[in-house]
Amino acid sequence: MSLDDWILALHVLSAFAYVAGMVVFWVLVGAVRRTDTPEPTIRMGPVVKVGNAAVGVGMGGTIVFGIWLAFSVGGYDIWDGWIIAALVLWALAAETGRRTGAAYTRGMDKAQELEAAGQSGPNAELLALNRTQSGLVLHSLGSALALLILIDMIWKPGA
Amino acid sequence: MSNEALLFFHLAGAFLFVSGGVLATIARVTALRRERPSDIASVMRGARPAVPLIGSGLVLAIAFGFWLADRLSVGLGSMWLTATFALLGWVLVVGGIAGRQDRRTRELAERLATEGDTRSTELARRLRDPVNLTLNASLLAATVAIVALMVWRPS
Repeated sequence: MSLDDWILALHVLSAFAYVAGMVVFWVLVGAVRRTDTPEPTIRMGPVVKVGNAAVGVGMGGTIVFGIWLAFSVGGYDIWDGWIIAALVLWALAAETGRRTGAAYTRGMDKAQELEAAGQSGPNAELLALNRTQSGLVLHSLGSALALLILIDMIWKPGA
Repeated sequence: MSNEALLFFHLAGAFLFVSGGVLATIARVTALRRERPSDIASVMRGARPAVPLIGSGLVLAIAFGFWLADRLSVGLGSMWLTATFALLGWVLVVGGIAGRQDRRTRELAERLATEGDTRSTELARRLRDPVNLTLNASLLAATVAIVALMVWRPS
């Protein structure tokens, strides 16, 4: 196998990590919508870290190895339309992911605040934060962007 | 159907299959670290979405994989494909066994949660059952191996 084959393999493996992380967050989004007490909200923290790690490794790997391939593989150039489209979609997905994280962190912060104050019972404000509509919309948008990247990578429009 | 469309559905299936495997693993490992049966039951319920993900992912990946292999004239007897089929068989059989064991553990945790929410020795034994943990670890290893075989396609 050539170096480019290895880089392509790592690029694809990074994509697997990215999608797996997104799916983990979908399950968390579903679980947290039914959570109105601080302790269960806080206990999702370790799983969030796993999801963050998977998405981080996935996004980092796809962009680094992807740009390498754009420069290295014959027949493709970084200014090809489908590669520019992928870069734009990747940047949008990264920003959407950052905003999704910020939206759901508010619930986690509130849960920690409530626990520090010794309040362990159900809290309507916490439930409202955990059911953040903007977070749900942003995560849906992030997933749609991931799907568009996959479509762009396979069909390579204009290549 | 174009080759691109076949590859898209094959890859989409593979993504679903791997995501389901990762999800099930996270749920199983997290359950090990919980003390209260209600927490354990809650975490293990989180693995439920993994079942349709793995199932639909396998169907898509295998069906469109065969179609793609036929379209691209890839020999079904090649070593990497044979190894992949063997690993898929392992995932199906062992996944069924480990899945049933985990379901019984979750049902026990749910029962204990309604009876005082105190962890029993039976629940602790089931959670740390070395056979079940080994089977689950082998499923993750097989999933990683399948992805590696598909990506690298050795010889």
